Amino acid sequence: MKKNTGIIVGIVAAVAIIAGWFISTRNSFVTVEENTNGAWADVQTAYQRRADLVPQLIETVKGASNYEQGTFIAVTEARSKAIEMNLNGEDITPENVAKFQQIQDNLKTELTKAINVTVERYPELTATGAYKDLMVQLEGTENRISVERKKFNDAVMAYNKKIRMFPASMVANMCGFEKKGFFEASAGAEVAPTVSFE
Amino acid sequence: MKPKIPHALICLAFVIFAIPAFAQEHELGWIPEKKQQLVNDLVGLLTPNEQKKMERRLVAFDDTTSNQIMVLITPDLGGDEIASFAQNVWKEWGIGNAKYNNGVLIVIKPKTISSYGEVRIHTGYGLEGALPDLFCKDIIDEDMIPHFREEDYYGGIVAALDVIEKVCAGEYSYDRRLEEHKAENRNVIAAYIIMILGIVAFVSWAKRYEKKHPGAFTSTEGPVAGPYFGSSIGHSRGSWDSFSGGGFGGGFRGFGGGLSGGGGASGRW
Repeated sequence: MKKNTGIIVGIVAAVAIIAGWFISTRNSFVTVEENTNGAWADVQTAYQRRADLVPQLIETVKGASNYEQGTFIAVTEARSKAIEMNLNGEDITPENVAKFQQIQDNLKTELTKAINVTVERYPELTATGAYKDLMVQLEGTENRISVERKKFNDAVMAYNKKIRMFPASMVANMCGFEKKGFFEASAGAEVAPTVSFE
Repeated sequence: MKPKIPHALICLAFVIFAIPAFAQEHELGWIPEKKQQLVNDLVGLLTPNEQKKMERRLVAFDDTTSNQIMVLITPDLGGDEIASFAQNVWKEWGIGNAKYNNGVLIVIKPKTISSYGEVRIHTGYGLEGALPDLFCKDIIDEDMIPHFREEDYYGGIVAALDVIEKVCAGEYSYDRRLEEHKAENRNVIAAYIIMILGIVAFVSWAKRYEKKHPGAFTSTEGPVAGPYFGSSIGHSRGSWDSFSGGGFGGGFRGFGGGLSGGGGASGRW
């Protein structure tokens, strides 16, 4: 009998060690996942700022005497598409992030076009305080977007690395922690075009 | 054979003397080395007296309001845009305290014959409300650049500090993520307790087993338990050291590890 109790205590101890490791590993995943979710929320806030600049631009230009209705249809459409796409923490898959990035880059392109149109058609506006304020806010917004994107990417790298490292990856598989997507450098914007020799 | 050695020496001398000429422009991505002081004039535009006076003022402001304002005068921006240069410096130095992220970084790159003068007020998350981008832009355009144009760098910085200190005093922001982390830490602690209980039970079982079966564990037990506990003790001692590293007295108590989201504004002259 005494021999048996010894073995049982040993088994219980081994189970407790494994369970403790499992729980602490899983909890550490939750922490890094929360970090990516928090960073993602900051990314969305930064992009929302850019979207909010569109109505502000239109408001500024509306004051001009020769304002034409319909000048800003493209950018307005791009904006409504951009604010439609809201991703929660669990939806940050590589595909969704790529799609999000594409929609946001489109808004950036349209916004840049709209500002160029403004400068060409309403040059008198560029001297006004409202327009200058808009430019300062635009610059601040772009800075924030790049900072938050970088922070988000760092958080995702840490998370992806953690859930894929053996043996913790077994826990990740069992508990359904999946790889998350991150921002690639935008084509054309941050990276010089690559030449194909084919 | 003999003259070859002097030739080599001359070549070497050329290389050595040529280095400083290239090193003036810092390499790509350069940021200044971290120092525990709020006024960092790497160019020497401020007199030692002005530096001391400004440092005292900013340390006093940090002591009374916990807002950290850092002034950096740099010869170049490491080939980067001023906003991203400021962000990189911030990341390395950690201005403002970690709870409120209430830091401000003023970067000035003086005008030279071949380049614009550039200035940026970079804000931490916690002060974005008190110092919106447009407000920073106003400070730059109205309080700083007019002085800088007349080469009065000290006057321009002081004029900006007057405004910034006024609006920052008493402004805090609460970081929601701190609370969330606390809750998770409790879970982690619970898991560790289970694990330690398991180890203790295992060890005591092994000892009992050992008594009955001498020699079964003697070779493994020591080395297994020894390093584990040893390393955990060493670890906790390490974190205690970093706590006490701040130092005491009237000087600057050190940067608090605050974060910035890239807020603020820049200007040129």
